[in-house]
Amino acid sequence: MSTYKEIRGLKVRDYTTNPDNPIEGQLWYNETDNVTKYQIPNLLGTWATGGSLNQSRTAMGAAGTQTAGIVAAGHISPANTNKVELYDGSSWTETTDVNTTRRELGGSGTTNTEVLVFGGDTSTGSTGQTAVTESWNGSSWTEVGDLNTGRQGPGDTNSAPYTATLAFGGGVSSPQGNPTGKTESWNGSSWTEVADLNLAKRFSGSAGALQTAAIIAGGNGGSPIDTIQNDAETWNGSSWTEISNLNTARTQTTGYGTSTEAIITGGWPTPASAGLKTERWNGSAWSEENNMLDNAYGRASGGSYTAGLSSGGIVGGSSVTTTSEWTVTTNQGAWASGGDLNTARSLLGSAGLQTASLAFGGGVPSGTAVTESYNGSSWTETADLNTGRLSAHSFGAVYTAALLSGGTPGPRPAMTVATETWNGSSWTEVGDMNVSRIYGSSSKYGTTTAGLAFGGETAPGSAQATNESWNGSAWTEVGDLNTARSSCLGGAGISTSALAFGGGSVANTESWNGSAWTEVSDLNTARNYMGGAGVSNTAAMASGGTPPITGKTETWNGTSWLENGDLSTVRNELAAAGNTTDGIAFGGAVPSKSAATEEWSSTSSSTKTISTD
Amino acid sequence: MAKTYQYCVAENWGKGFIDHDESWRITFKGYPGNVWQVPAYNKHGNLWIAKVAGAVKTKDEAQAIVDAEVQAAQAAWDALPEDQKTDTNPRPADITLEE
Repeated sequence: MSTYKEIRGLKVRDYTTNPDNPIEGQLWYNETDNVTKYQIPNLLGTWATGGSLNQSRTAMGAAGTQTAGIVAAGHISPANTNKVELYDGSSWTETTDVNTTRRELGGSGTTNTEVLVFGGDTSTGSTGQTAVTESWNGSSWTEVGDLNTGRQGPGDTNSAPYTATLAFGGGVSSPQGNPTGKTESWNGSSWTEVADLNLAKRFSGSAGALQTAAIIAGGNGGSPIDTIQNDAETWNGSSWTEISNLNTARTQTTGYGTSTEAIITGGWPTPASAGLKTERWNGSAWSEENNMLDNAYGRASGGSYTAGLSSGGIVGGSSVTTTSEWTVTTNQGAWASGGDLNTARSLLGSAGLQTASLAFGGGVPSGTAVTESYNGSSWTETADLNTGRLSAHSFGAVYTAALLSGGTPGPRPAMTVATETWNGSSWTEVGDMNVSRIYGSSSKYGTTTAGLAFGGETAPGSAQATNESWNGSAWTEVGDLNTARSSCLGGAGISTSALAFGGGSVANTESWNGSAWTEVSDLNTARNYMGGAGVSNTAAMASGGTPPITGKTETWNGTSWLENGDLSTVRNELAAAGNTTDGIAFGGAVPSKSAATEEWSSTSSSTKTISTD
Repeated sequence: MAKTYQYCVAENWGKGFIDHDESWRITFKGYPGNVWQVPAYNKHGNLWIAKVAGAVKTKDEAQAIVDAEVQAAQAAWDALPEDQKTDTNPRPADITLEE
């Protein structure tokens, strides 16, 4: 992220409302609110401290992930070392030493139990370039086939499997320490020379999760020899191609990720703050990201673009134990207040989008038939349900076509299997569900001709794994959830691509592919009685819930849940609709029945108010 | 002149010393001697200093701590054999803290 933005212009313009599409860095005065506002890009990634290394060190080989990392050998002042440490996501533990003491070596491995290290400098003065390669099986190091060219400070595909990786660039022994462009490919037993880099360089940052896709950036090379570089290249399995240069030239830098999603961070010269700079390659351009926590060079790194690990290095002339963890939060968004429902209620049905949504049924506390439509600013009462009820299954991608099924008119044990569909002006009774239940969830982005209803309970304490599919006229039982649950688990998606999350006091998330549920990554916060929304099994959001009653909001990107801005009105038993960029939440219990509506927006930039808070 | 940054001394205990929420809200810079720079007149910076029980230092006090660390590293570097004073092991540079 750039530290400063220049403001140019001759006129100061008053706004009574915020500008429609402000650009990054735009500054304006809102005369209605009497505040000055500005536009910033949403921050994508941040560094936080991780567990400290057992020894201050630099110039290690590294591999693995943010929760299963490894650093091997390197330099522990005043000498090189063969010490190895393993990271478990919170702390480092010393393990078996490598056989060859050295610094400035390469590393590769998808985890910290299957690792390859290679090359390095056995001296402390760039006179001991080595070709030695060692393989780690989680308990011992074994010497395997040497590199064809011994080298220090090579580039490496540090996230690639230890049986199929790449070594490129580095400093060679003849002429002493000069950079090389040589690239070698490892097949599990031997190295083979392949196409050279376009620009020979050493001490570059590099990344790659495959032997056939790598990136290298920065380092020393060019003319005059050992010029500090911002040059960058990518490897496609057969040749290197020059790409856009780094914004900040640097050497003794480090990288991780893939050839299309990489991070380069730290490096020399530190007087120019190269050690603080973090840059992201997105496959086509470099962008500056949030700075590293300290101004270091000689770090070692591993992991992915969304979850990286960088440790050690030299700060102010001394090596350090510092470990920094990089975590990306995408879809950074926020809730803003919308118009209140006319009827405060909880456990209600929902459909539609942020600016055109539908609220129906719910408990006030007994089941109501009230239906309201939202136009982006206010709710208007429209035609009632045929059967008033609460805690039913509901879905609808648009507010003119929704479905409600099951639930209870309240109080229990009365429950219904009745299903109704909404055509934009009235509700019509259609085919009944097979299993009556409450506190379940749905594929929230379904249509009146295709959707799912899953989970819930048939009686207190009898959580169900039942999953029913609606085809426009009838319900059919299809593949059950792996974990039976109730308590208003969250739901998202459509009939062929859905997500079920939380409920039953668990954080479990399951992904539906049209025929079966598969367990995927858990919510960060286990919760019941939440609002769930989203369009598929790769884009969903969870907001609110209990216990304890919360406003926490998380978004699902297909791989993991990311914490985002909280609801302003902390609540449970709410309804949600829309998608992960334009969502809406309304109703619920705080614990009294709530009419509050909040609108969720997640864009590439956000408006901030200048404040001394 | 109003200052932009404030400084404190706090030992990095590892995981949780700076968490992602704090890192998202304010910009940290770590310096030798466990010196940390955070924004001045900022409640999130103040809350973080309180969390880590940081000893608040003036800029001059923090500069003195950093200088001592760097000068020690420079002396160690100066004492190295000439063959270890390579381009990959540059002499530690002076660090000037910002106001």
